[in-house]
Amino acid sequence: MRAYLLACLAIVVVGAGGYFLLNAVQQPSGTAFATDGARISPNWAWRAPSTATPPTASCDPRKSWQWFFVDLGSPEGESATCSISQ
Amino acid sequence: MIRLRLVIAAIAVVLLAAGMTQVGAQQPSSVDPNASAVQEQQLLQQLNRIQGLGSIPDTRSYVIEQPMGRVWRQFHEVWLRWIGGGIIFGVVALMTMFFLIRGRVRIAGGLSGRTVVRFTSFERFTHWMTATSFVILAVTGLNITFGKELVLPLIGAAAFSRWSIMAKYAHDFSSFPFVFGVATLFVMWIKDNFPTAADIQWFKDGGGMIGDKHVPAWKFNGGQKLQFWLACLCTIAAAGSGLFLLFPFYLTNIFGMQIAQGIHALTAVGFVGLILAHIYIGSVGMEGGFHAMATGEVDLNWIKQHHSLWLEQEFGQGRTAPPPAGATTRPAS
Amino acid sequence: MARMKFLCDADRCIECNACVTACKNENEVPWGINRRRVVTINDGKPGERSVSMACMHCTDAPCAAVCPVNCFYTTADAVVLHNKDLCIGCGYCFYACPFGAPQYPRVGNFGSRGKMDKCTYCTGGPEQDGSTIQYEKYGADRLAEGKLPLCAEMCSTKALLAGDGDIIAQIYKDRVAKRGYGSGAWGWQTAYRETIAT
Repeated sequence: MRAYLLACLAIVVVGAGGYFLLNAVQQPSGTAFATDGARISPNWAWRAPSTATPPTASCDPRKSWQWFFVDLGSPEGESATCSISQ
Repeated sequence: MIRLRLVIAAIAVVLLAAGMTQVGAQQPSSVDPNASAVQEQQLLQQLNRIQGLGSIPDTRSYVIEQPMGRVWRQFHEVWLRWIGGGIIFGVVALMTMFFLIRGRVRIAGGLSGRTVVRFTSFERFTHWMTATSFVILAVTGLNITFGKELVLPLIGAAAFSRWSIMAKYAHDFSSFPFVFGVATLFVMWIKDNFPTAADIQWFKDGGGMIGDKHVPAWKFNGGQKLQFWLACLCTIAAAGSGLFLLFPFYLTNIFGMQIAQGIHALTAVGFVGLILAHIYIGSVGMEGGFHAMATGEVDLNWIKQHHSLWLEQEFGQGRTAPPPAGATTRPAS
Repeated sequence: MARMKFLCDADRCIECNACVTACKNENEVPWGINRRRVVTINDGKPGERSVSMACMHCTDAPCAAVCPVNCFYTTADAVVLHNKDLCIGCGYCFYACPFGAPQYPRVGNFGSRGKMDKCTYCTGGPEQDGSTIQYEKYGADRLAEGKLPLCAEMCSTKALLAGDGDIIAQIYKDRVAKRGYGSGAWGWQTAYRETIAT
């Protein structure tokens, strides 16, 4: 029984390690497909109904650990649309 | 005189107009400026793909037509369902029939009460890490192919989407402990899985599953060795193609990704069938078999029946004086 | 009802990318997402050809068929759209799409690509027509205002045609008859299982 429980723990630990490995190669498409000279402020990622003003909803760039849970819900206080384009 | 000139002028005008209309009528069919340009059908015949050069860094966007996508769709939605469903149903049906006809393989002579250590705790830990990750991989992987047919109608689209998101993360991250587990088991057990003469005899005697013969075997019998090698091959194929899927387009183009997914899916459904049979044998199919992996200790009569050669090798020749009832015999080392 | 299609006249496309710019602007398409793109075959060589490509809104769309969560739907105008709330970002629609239309906001592993985004024929999505949330998720909804997609409207040479399939097929046929040549409607055989006889 102990062997089995340790095995389940190992799955979680190794899986989490794998997550950090994969996270290192994950990029938003705007960074992946643009050179350094073309980078602009990160709120290029979010649509705003009015093109004249920048998006009023303040979307903070996602922290790496937040990526893991991104599809289960948004961080506290973040507009729902921030996850669409990240 | 003037009338004659007028007539000549009129005829000239008419002839000129006729001439012009002639020339005008020829113009539309004169020159095709794109005559030497590529044609769609020509490109499709050459490459089965139309690609050129774009102005954006995303090289995937340079392919503008790949009809193979429709073929891949046919594979994933039709052929894979039949093959996968057929394998899984077939294996379950076969095992059910086998159980109903042959029944459980009983321990000859019943439980003796004395046990022998067959698997160390590290072996058991590794096996269960591999087994549990496999079950997670299998369920979440089958969800991609069969989920929308079987699960979505039950729980609705929004709940199914949330479940599928968690399932795909579980699938990606369970793959790491699974591959580490298989690699460890491979290194640990390869020396006990090389084919021997005893295996040929084991297969000839039906592995003890047909009839009640005691078929001698070493630590792993012929069937287990077959399972070992098949599992290793399936893991290499599934994990290898899985790596391509995990890092899409790092090394391949769109066609390569479609092939990788095809290999992954076909290997996976075959693997599921293999493991279903493995689970059957290790649980219901054989009395006393589950103990080997659950506690590591097996009954003496069981080991005499199924792995007599290994018993002799590990614990000495012939019978020793029976120790007190309930005692466990450990390998001499 | 109209059956909406795109037709790119490969003999007229001059690779100006006005369609790309128009789409990016009208739908506030984020960086890295390329709903429409122009690809040049045999660039710089004799026989160079440019084609503008986005979602073709296929008949019997393969993207819709392979989606593991069935997040796609087809409108009455035969426009193929999807629901971003259901999308799990697995990337299968990209493998199935003959035209490479689906785009993803994150580059990386299976399941973490983010919500798929693609050309919507300027029709928006399942949210309320003209609402802010629809614009933020899917971009412009021109069809609801009775307008055609902006890419075709902005095409400088009228190479890119959008509208009811029969109407634009007829325009193309007349064009080919008038000028005497035409390389055919690229992608129509794969997308709509039909060609335009010229």
